[in-house]
Amino acid sequence: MIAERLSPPTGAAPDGGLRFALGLRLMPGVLALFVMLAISVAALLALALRSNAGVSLTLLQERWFWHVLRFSLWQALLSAVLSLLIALPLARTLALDRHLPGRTWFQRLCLLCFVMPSLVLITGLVTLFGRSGWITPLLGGGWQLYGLPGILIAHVYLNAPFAIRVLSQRWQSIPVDAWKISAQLGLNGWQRFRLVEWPMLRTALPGVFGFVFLLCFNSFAVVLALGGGPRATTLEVAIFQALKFDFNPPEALFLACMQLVVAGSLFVLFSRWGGLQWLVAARAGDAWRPQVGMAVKWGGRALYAAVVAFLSLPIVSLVPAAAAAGRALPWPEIARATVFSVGFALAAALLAVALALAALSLWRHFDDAPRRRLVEAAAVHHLVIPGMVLSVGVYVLLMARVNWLEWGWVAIVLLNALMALPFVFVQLRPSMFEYDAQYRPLLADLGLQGWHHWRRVLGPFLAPALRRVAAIAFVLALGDFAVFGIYGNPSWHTLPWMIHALAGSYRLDEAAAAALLLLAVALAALCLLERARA
Amino acid sequence: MLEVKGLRVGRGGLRWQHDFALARGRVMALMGPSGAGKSTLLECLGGFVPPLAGEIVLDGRPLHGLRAEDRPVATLFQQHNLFEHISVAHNLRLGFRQGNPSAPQWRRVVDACELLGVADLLARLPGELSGGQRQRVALIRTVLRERPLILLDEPFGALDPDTRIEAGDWVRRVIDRDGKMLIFVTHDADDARRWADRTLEIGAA
Repeated sequence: MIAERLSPPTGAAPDGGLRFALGLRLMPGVLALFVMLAISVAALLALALRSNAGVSLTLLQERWFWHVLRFSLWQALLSAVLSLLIALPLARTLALDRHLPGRTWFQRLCLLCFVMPSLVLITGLVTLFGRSGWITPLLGGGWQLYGLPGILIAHVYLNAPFAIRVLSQRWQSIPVDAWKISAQLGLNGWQRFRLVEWPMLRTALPGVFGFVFLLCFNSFAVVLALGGGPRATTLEVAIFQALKFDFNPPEALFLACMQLVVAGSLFVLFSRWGGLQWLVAARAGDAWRPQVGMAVKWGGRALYAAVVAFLSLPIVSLVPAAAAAGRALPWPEIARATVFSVGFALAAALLAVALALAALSLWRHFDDAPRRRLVEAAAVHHLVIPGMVLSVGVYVLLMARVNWLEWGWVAIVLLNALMALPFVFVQLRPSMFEYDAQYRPLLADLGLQGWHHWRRVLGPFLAPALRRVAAIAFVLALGDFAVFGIYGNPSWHTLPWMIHALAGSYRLDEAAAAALLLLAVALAALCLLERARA
Repeated sequence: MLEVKGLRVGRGGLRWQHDFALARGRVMALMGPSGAGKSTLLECLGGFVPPLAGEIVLDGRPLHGLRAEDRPVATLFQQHNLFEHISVAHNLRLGFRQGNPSAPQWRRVVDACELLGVADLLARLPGELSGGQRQRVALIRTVLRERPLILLDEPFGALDPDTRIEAGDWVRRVIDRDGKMLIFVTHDADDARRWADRTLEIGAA
């Protein structure tokens, strides 16, 4: 096996021309890295400079702050535990029950739920569990959607499907030989679990748990809409309130620093616990798998049916309301909002993919772990930096020089691209790694480089992954609510803002219709994703 | 002429030293037990393993300072010789400048494919081929590339006896006709006797 790096052999320093060519090839990566880091640093600095009184450390003595921090952690912990409790048995059923009906569609539904625009989900949940919701009469007099219950339902809805997909994929990745040996040795269910399944789970669970926890810890739109007041607020929402309502930069900066420290530490911790194979396209499990007992099989199928209902109901519940809206819908406005939404999301997705590819070109070039980690950190740190801080920081940094009413769309595209970047980068990296691990010597032997290499070999190799990540980035940006809230122009709306405005003026039927439309656009993009599995 | 002078190569804690020369149109077989450093020597000649000391000179030009990408060498690895996501024909074309072989070059590729029984597979993906078919496709591309030095790491391992003879004879004819130099690794003394002008036995380090 050829494991060595294919750089000039020892003693053969690259000559001037070669060094220049190498530098030119690395330029996009260096530029991308600069953009990623500079925007975050500049946003934080801008807020710091705005905070004449410095960071508001007095908050450390306030009970309110500790309550917000405790609630942020508590709701994230509960959400992650509940999501995994649902995902574990169902992922096993998906992997082992070969005759489970509608498996492929279910996996698509899972993906759709994970990237579902929060406002669509919130509209659906209010229709189901709100004051006059379909299911509310069954829940007793004391039921209250707003607060911890609503946050947990929404978080489990968004994240359990992610955990199901990742874990079922890991279950399917157990080598068929391991299953066959366990069958041939006559191992019972417990022995098989301990020897074959647990070693896989042990490496996968920490990463999945950590990622779900982090997403819930940083949750914004769900908590803002369903939190129902100061008793159920997270750090991210508190930052928003500090900036939007009080315009109190010292407080926002302190909260943002706290969020960065806590979320950053958690991210480092979870990253060390184990890797995460993300949202790979669904694969048919046609390899041999052991038979499971009848009780396990039918128990799994019952859970499957329940989860299908749980995931479908918020979507289905929108249909009657949308139909009731009928011709009263403001179609010209909706069409305009759709065009803006698709345009912004498309531009943000393409930019996110371009940034990720540029960063990966640099990542490939480095053969030492520290420099590779630097590139990775630059590309994924937007997972832990509060989106609101990024948005407001850039806004105040440039507001003296830039007319945001005119140029706000640039910030919307750029910031949404940066927020989608971690998802894009982390999904593309394994493909690039696999490509290099498999073909690096062959590439060197054939002398394939530059555009010729990209067009004829690397491009076709990455194409399925690129389509997949572009679709995910598109849907994530499509649902943007926060960035548009800062930079949006009153003369044009996106679909999420239109839903928000319609719901805010109690035109719930019309909001449901707009939500369904947003969902249809997202679904179309994701169907493209699933087509890319070849 | 390939001249290898005092070439020291290492892998892990093992060290080997090689001195040999190979003229144009000549074939050398590399033999020895597993772990004796046969593949490591090929990788060093191809630029994938840096030498610890010594020289590699091809037609008077030192190779040891060149990157793998720039060496006038074509290598058949033990595995991963074909890109799995593009067709066999596309893989074959990549052996030539910018992936665009001239008409005579492509004619020779097609003739070789017909001779070695893979001409009907050009439109397929490598994953749809058997191990022996993949080996023959990769062999054709490696041997027909416009490179004076050809390195083949166990090129006939996946082939049945008849195909093995056919493929080996074809390789030998190309080397003779084009005046290239070939070094190939084999565990079979018959291969060495049939196609090689000389054999380099490498013992355990």
